[in-house]
Amino acid sequence: MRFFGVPFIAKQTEQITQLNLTSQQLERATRLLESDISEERVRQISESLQANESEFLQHLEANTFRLQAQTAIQQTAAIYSTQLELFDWLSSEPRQQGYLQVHQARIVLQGTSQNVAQAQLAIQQQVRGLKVLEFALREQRARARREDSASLTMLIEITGVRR
Amino acid sequence: MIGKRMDKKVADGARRLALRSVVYFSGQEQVRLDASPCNVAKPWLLILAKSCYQEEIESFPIKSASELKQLLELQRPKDALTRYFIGPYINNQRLVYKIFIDPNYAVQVSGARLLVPETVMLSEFAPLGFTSISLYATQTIISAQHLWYYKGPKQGLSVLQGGLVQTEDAARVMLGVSSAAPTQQWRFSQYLNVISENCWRLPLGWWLAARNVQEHKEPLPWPKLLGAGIVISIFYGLVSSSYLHFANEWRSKQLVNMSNDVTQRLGERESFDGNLSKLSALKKAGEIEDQQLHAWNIIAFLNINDIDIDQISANNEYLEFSGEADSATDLVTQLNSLAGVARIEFISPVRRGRSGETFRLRIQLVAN
Repeated sequence: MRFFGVPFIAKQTEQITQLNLTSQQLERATRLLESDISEERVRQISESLQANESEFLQHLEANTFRLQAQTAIQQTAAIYSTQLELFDWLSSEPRQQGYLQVHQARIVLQGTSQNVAQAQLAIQQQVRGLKVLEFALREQRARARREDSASLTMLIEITGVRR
Repeated sequence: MIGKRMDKKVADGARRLALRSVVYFSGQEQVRLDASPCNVAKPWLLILAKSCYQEEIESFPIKSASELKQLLELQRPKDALTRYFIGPYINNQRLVYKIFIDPNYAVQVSGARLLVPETVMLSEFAPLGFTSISLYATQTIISAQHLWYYKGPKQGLSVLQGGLVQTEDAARVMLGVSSAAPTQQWRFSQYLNVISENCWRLPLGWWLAARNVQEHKEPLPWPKLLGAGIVISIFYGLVSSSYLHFANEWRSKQLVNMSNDVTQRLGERESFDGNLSKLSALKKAGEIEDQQLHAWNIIAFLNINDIDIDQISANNEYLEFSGEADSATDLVTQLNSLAGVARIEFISPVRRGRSGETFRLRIQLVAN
């Protein structure tokens, strides 16, 4: 028993464990091969991704990206007779395993309250990936002179795509 | 209904089995339960006629059958001709049928594997009342004897065999049965039929007592058994090891064959999942929060309604502002009807100003 039975049982146990392991691997592999994703779906997702990427600012280098973003915001604000009083870049961090690069900034827009409101909405629509995290609006003498200037301070984050 | 049907099936099966394996021994000849004569040297079950043994019935006030059995074993002679059948515990008494078999029938008795005296069997399943049984009227022996028994509702079986007593009236007197009590007549074949239908109902303990234990058992062929065990073990070991080996080999080979396809499919899947994840991240990064749109909608509402506002600050959860209106409470009521407003609270007390009430509000925003 000691010289034949015990080694035999140990060997069989090892073989059974190995067989279970191999069977599980085989089952997983078969399941993977059977679960086919349609080519149409792959193509659809790929095209959708490309289309979305093209709407975002490309992030090759931080300074270039910031310059592009700042210029786009400034130009859009100017359309609504709004001045970009302050543009202060704060921090930058990668997201989605480095696929995206997110920059935070504090900006101040100056103009009439109506223009400022329209400008901020236009900026968000124009610059894809721009999000307003916080904002503060100060109006002066709103009741007496409706055309008085308003100041909009926004904490924003702009997302660029690394391709 | 189902119980009765089941019971009938068991009875039929037992009857068929009994017809093949049970032999009734009258003391002169053997008959099967279909009344056909036979000569079986080693029957499975031998039912012994009353004429072949003496019977004593004793009662003991012991409830436990096993304890009573131990007690009786001390006094029982150690031979195959004396049998004790321990009956049920009724009225604080347990009946014991002590059977002393006539040594003249020792050969027939020792040949059977199981031995049951007919009175023991009758005591278990015989119908109540006075019954007269015509015995041994077979093809070879024409002259019939009688067996009379009486079974009362609260008493055991009283049996009387024909011999000195020849008539039914005399049997009634001997058994103490009233002459008014009806007589149930059984021919021998009827009697055997009743036995064949009911013999399986005997208690387990009686079957144990009915066993004929062989005094000289043949020793088991240990060397042969050991040899067979070793051969079976080796065969099992070879077969199971071969199966496991080839099954492992076959599966591994399949895995190797599939590995290129699996690697390719994994790559495709990884790329697809990665694209999905990127697309989801882009959509999230590009969308404008509903709360922000609601905040600007509230600001537009305040401007349109000429509400004097000092300062507005907001994030994706709250919008806070201070200002002055004719009625702060009315303003809150109006603001409550706007989209995205979950809750409004005053974060400082309302005071009377120069042209209305001054207030500071916090509006909790929700996406919808």
